[in-house]
Amino acid sequence: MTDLNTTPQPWKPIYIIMVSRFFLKKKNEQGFTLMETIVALGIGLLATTMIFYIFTLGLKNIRTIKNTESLHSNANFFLNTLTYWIKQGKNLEVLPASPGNILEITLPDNSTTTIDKSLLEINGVSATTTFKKMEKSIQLNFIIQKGSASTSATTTIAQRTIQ
Amino acid sequence: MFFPRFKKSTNNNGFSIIEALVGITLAALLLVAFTSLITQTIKINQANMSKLKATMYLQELIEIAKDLEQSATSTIFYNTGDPSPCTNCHPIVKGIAWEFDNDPLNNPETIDGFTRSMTISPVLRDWWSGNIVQTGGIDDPWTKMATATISWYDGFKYNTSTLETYLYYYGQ
Repeated sequence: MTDLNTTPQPWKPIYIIMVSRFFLKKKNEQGFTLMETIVALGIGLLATTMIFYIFTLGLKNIRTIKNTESLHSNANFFLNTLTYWIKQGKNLEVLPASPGNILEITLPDNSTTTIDKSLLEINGVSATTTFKKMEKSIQLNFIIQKGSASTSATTTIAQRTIQ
Repeated sequence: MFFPRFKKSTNNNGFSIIEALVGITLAALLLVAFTSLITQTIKINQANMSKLKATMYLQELIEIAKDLEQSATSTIFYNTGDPSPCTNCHPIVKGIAWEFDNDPLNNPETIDGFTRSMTISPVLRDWWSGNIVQTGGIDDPWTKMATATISWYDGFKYNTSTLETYLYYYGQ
């Protein structure tokens, strides 16, 4: 049978006092001076401002790059589609519209299709297009914009009336 | 002892000059690396857009040559021995027609930071097979070659690109 008087007690009051004194003892009563606090706050503020500025600049550039990619792909799609229709058109007419104008293409089976700036206005891109009929080609000018990225160009696509 | 006391810190010196310098250098390195990364990304993006525009302006010369192939046959299909209607020239708009500007003062044409020109040159064919040959054939007055060249600076280096196409007389 176990004798309670001889069994060691795990938490005698003396241990609790020792623990309390260890944690409650003040080691450093000096703290920071006003000057140290001001300098630390100044450096912290400067570092935060710089990091925030660089981060914002990076985000802005990433957004511009994404917008430019959209313009790039839209311009490619527009030119490819336009080339596809103009090459097989037997007659081309430029019809007035506001703003800019519309290109009407008559196909060999006498059906017609029209192309305007809406072909460029996908993926949130805004555009302005102007077509000019030349003897055997179409000269086109377009301005495309998305966010802060924009580009403009003038190019020509020739007909191929000799089948 | 169950709860030994930790040794009291006796270091009250703060940062040494070496620690401060290492910290500042690391921060500066990171800043420079990040700035350089952003700058390079922007330049690559602009270079891509320049390439798209260059391709468009170059292709335009070929398309204009294809217009003239159908609309100005007497100009394009010049007689054997005559001077070429276009040697390092560029096309200009006159009304609704394209014409060649051969004035050396105006060539090569500079447009939107791109320098471009084109040349219409004779094509030689083997007299027996009719195949196009580089040398040793006879001049075919009903076939010409259009060569378009464009050069531009993309922010990294100077680039030059060339396109060639044959122009055929279809008897219009």
